[in-house]
Amino acid sequence: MSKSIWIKLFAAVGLLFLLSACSFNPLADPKTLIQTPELPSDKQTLSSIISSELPEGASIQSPKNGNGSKIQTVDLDGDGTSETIVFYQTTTGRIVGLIFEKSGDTWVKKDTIDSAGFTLESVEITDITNDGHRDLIVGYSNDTSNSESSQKRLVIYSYDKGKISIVDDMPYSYYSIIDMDGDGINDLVITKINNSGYVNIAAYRYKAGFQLISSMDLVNTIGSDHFYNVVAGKVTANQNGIIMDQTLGVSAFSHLIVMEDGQLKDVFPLSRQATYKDIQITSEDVNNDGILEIGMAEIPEGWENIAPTEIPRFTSYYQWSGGADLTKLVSQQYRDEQGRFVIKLAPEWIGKVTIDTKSNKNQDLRFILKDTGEKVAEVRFFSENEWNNHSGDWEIIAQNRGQVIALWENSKINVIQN
Amino acid sequence: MIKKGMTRQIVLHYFIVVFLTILLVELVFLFAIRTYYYDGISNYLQSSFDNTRAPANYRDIVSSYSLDKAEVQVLDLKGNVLQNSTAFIVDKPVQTGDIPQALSGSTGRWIGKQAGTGEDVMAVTRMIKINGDKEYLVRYVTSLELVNQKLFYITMVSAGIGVIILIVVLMVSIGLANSIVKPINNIIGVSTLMAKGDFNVRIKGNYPHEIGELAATLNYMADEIVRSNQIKDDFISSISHELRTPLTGIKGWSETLVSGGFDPEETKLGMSIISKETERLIGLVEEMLDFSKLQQNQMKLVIGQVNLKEILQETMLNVWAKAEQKQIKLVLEPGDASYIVQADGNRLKQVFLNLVDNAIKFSPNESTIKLVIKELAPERVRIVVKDSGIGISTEFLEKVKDRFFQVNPNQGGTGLGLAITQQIVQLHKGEMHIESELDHGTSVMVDLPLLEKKPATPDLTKEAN
Repeated sequence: MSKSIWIKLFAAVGLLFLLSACSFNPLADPKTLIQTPELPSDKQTLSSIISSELPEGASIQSPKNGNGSKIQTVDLDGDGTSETIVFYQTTTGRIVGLIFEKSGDTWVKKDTIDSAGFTLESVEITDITNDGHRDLIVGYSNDTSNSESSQKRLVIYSYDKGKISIVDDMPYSYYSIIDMDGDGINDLVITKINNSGYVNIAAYRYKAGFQLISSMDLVNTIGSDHFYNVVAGKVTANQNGIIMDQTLGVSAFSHLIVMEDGQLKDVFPLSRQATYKDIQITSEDVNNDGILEIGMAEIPEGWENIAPTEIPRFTSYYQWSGGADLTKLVSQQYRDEQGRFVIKLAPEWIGKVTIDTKSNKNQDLRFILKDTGEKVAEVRFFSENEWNNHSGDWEIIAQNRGQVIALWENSKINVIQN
Repeated sequence: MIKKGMTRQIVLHYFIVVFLTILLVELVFLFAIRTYYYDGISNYLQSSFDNTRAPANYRDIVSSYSLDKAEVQVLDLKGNVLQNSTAFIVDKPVQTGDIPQALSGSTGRWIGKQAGTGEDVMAVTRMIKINGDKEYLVRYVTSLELVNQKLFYITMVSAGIGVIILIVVLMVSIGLANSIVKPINNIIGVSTLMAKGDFNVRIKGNYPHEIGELAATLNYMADEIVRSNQIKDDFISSISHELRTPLTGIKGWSETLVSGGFDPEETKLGMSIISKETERLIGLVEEMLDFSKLQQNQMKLVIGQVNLKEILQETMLNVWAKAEQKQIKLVLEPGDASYIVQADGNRLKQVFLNLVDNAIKFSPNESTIKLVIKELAPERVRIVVKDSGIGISTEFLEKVKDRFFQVNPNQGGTGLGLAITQQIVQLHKGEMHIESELDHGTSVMVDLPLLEKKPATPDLTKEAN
């Protein structure tokens, strides 16, 4: 082989390496190469059809409450083809809704919802008119702030044969769709401020229009912005109700509204005494048994005479058992005030554990048995340095900004629910 | 394609070795690159978990964890998607491998095809607690299409570089193989000619190393064959001559005698010449017989204890007449000790007769030939036959012991004498060396294993005197 061929060959190889070094950097930053996954083709189609229908500058809205999905696809009219409901806000701030119906592989715009509001509060799709077809229940407000005080409008729409029609339109602060009287048919329960300024709760049933079944005013409660939590659902194994947690300064108390003999009633007529708590606790189904619990703050035994700000309070969750006070304690927890951790007592130890008065709720919490005083668990706040040098059988339960919060548990007496 | 043979084998070996090397290196490289990219991405997504504080509100999870170029999903512990950063609801629960990992408390990672789109995606999931209580899974899903494209591109480029390296290696190995195979082919060609009998061809070219040695050896072999052929030819011509001379004498005299009419004196002379010439023929034939026996290893030695001194004295007596003719003096020294060796006396005598006869043949008139016995190393004795004759040039010194070799082929003889001598000495486990200087004389040294040394016997000393 002649020398010149070799030289040419080596030059070619060298050139290749040089070129590849210029245009080709195998060690690019990997994170610059990621991208948002594509939507499935049907959703892409839908997305592009929606975009083509939006006026310039409009943005698709996500409801402030409830299911936060921007685009919902359901069969509204029960004809076996799906409809898609989208709300957008125009450049002037108005909320406008669009209804599309599926047609083969594509979607066709059927109707427009011209709303009266500027904020989309909620979108719920369920059958409230009891005709077997789902209805569209949309809440609007004119308020752009987060305040709950302003009166909102609840509009119930029905969709049939490609046309949207308004079934009813009523002012509300909170609404719940729930079977209050146990007849198997959903009722619409509206909480609003009535003309005299009181909080009014009204239950409606749909029968050729919404018929008022029962209505009541909450005693001594003016203005609806004091409610920090309104939740509807089962309150006993076979009764539905609505729990409304109301603020009282930094404290709180709760209402439980049920229907008895066709009449709405607050089961704690003297709510402030029966459900008063030093701190605001959200009522919810904490033990996942399908029944709502009312949360109560409880001062551990021995802390009665200590300054309220220093008390490490237990949070006790009660189920309603029919009476005018709360007796059925189902869960006892220690909830850190800053939301860093939650310690749940095992059901068999509920009510039998207190916190050593030498504890400090931001340093060291010692859980002891009420009768013997024996230490059964401890939550300690470690600095990172302390944690690295710690000894003993500690389990991290929270970790943040150089702070380690760890739990020690008496292995013979397991008071902590895992 | 390269034809079957060493070139192909060498090229193939190179190719396989380099191919495997490149393959392994590229596999490791690509695996490392892939790991680098995938780990980089999952680390990026994980760092977003590390840098984000769980929000106090369930509805804020998506916005808290939102990340450019990645979809955020919020799942319950059963894998149902509660919220996500796209506008759409995900209706089917997620059941990929990252979920169980996240449920066990670690950060789950899953790489696979996205249901619905078939896109290559990576999902990284971690469990978070809202207010230290409610547990959710936050799942990042990001597309790996660009990364995979890049990885594919890197794979192609590195495969391309590998192919180029292979081509270069292929060319280099072809060149290398040719540098070995071409000389070998040349040598094969020449040796084929030699095998067919043409010993005048030679391998030309200056090859390095083993191939050069092979070529030189073959050339040397050819030289030797030519030379030994020449020697054989010389032998045949000289032996023919040797045989013809006595035969001519015998034929002449026998024809003369047949014609009759001669007196008894003349008849006796003729018969004695015939007898003498016949004797010479017998000698020649016996020499050749000996030689052929030696060649075929059929010579049987009658081993006995032989006194070297006696053998040498007998030898001297046998050549006395010949020496007298040239007035050459034969001297045996020292005369006082006798050396006993294990040997065939007659054969040993043949050795010395031959050596002394040669010495006389090539010595000038009135010179002296010395026969010296001396003890060499323990149990080894050396007999030197030293003349001051014409000597042998260094050129021929090595060849005089070869069979059929004669410095001057016209001088008569078979050229077998020294060859036979040498072989007999070797049969006695001895060695024979020749030292010679042109025009100054030759020394032939015969070393034999010594059995015992006896003090001189007065009888023998007297006889020598």
